[in-house]
Amino acid sequence: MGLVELQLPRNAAYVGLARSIVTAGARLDGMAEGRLEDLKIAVSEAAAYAISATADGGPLLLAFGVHDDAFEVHVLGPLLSAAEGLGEWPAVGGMGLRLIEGLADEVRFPEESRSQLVLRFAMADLGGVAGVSAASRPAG
Amino acid sequence: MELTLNHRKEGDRTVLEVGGEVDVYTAPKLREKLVELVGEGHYQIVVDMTKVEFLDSTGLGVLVGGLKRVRSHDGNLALVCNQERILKIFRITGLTKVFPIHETLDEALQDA
Repeated sequence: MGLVELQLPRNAAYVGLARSIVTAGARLDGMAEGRLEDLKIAVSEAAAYAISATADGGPLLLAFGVHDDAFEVHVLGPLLSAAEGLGEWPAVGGMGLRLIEGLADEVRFPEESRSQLVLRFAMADLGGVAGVSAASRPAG
Repeated sequence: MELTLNHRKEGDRTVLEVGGEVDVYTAPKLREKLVELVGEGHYQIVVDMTKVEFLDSTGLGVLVGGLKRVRSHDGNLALVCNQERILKIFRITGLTKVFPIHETLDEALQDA
C-alpha cells in the first residue's frame, strides 16, 4: 500500500492538525492504542522541526502509512540544506530530537537523500526501548 | 484543543492551572503567562498539569525557562502531573531530575 501524502501550510498553527491526521491514519491502519500517543508526540516534534529547518519556505510535507510491517512517517524537506546536521535541531537543548529518538522505533535520514526524515513505529505495543542508530544519522 | 491558563493564590504559592495542548503553537502563551507571573512577584509557582492533553518539547522548554526565572529570585517551580503519557515525556528528556513532580496538588502545596 502506498503512503498517504499530506501537504499543509508551513506554519506552527498546523502542527496540531498534522499530528491529528497522522495519528488517525495510524489508528485506521490498526496501530495499538498504546503506541498512538508515542506517534503523536514524535510527529509533532518532527513537524515542528520541518517548519524550522525547511530552507525554502515551502509547505510542510508529510507522507505516512504502513510499510514493511511498520508505520512510517516521512517528513519531507529540503530539511537540512541550511542546518546540515542534527546539531542544529531547533528545540531547546535538543529535547525534540531526544523525544523522537525515545518514542520512535527507528529514526533515520536516508543516506541517499538529506531531504527526508523517516520515523518508523511498530504497529503493536511491544513495550520496548526505542532508539536511533548512530549509523543512520547524517554526518554532522 | 486550545490552551487554557488560570492562576490563583494558595497560601504563599501561586497555582497555574494549564489545560489543553501545549505545543510549538501554543507554548508561547504559556511562556508569556509565566513571565507575567514572575514579573508580578510570584516566585513560588505550582504548575498544575493534570488537565494537559498534549505536551511537546517546546512546552518543556517553556517550563525549564520558567524554572530558571523563579530560581533567579530564589523561588521554585513545581509540577503536578499524574498522567503517565505526560510523565513519560519528562522521563525521556531527563527532566524528572530537574522539576519536583507531584501526583496531586495537595502534595505539591504541602511540600516545603
